Amino acid sequence: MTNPTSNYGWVLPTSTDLVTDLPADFEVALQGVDTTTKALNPSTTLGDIEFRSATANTNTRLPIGTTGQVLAVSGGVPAWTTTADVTPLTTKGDLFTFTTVDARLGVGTNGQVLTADSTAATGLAWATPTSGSMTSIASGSFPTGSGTLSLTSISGAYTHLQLHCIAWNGSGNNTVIARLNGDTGANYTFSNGGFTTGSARASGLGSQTSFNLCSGDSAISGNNKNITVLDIPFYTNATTGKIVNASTGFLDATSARAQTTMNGYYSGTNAAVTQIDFIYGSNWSGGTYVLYGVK
Amino acid sequence: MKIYEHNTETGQAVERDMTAAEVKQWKADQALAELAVLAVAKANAEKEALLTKLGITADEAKLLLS
Repeated sequence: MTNPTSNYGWVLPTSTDLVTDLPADFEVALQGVDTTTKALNPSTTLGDIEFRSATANTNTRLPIGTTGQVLAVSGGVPAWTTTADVTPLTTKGDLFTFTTVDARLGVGTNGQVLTADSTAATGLAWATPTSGSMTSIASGSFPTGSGTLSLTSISGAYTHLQLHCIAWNGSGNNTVIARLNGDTGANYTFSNGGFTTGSARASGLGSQTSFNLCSGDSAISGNNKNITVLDIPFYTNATTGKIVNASTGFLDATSARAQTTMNGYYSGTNAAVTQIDFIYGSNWSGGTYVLYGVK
Repeated sequence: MKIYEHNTETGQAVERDMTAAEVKQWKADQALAELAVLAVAKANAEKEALLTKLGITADEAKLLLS
């Protein structure tokens, strides 16, 4: 063994030391051991750990961290840190987001979409779509026992109504009219255009008691499958009358293919439209209808 | 006469007899529609008669007015 020792430099008694000097020699040697041991094991408290310091044979004490902390590297040495990776998610559908720290965004309600919202802490929010969607408000088959479909209690939650009448037909040659809110007053003005009975058609009428969707023509029935799409934009607008537009494809009285449009203005009341009557001159024999609310 | 009412709020659809007032209105609607059909037919007939009187076709009449 080298003297002093090769690794820690402890100074040991030599063979020429006097016996009387041995206590002092051992004191020197063992103090060296004690100093080195303490330098390598500086821990003082439960949970302490040590790591190598910049000084040879000297460790640095790192006191235990707090609950939830993890060991990371900071400034080139180990350090306890509060982790950013603990999930805040707790519930089905939660999203992992961020405010100034990790944050949870709970799932929205059915039909909502995720949208940017700078006023929200996370910058995100669930919102009900306000545009671009069509919702089926009511649908069904035309009853064979009647010729009047009355759609009532229409919600005002939309900006636009669109009625689809698909493959409707009936018996005999009859026309089709539409009426709003059950108003039978002379409050309907409309023009019709299209192509029927072999020629172009244009006509207009004012102060009528309903909209005639194919004025001057009878939508023929038989096995025909007529189609009508009727639009009422801004139907909840409470300051003016209502615009109603419709387009119908049908077979005319000569059984030729025909098409007619109706552009109408209802001026009876400024109230929101809550009822649409779609009236055929005889009983239906088939077809379906869907009333959509459009946002 | 029947009317098919579909309450879009409740989803309930019922077919019921029209009231007397509704039947009256329905008949009035049909009469007006018939009048409109007759008016158009009359206008078409008058147009045809005029074309015959002038001795020209409908296409020739369009050409004149273009």
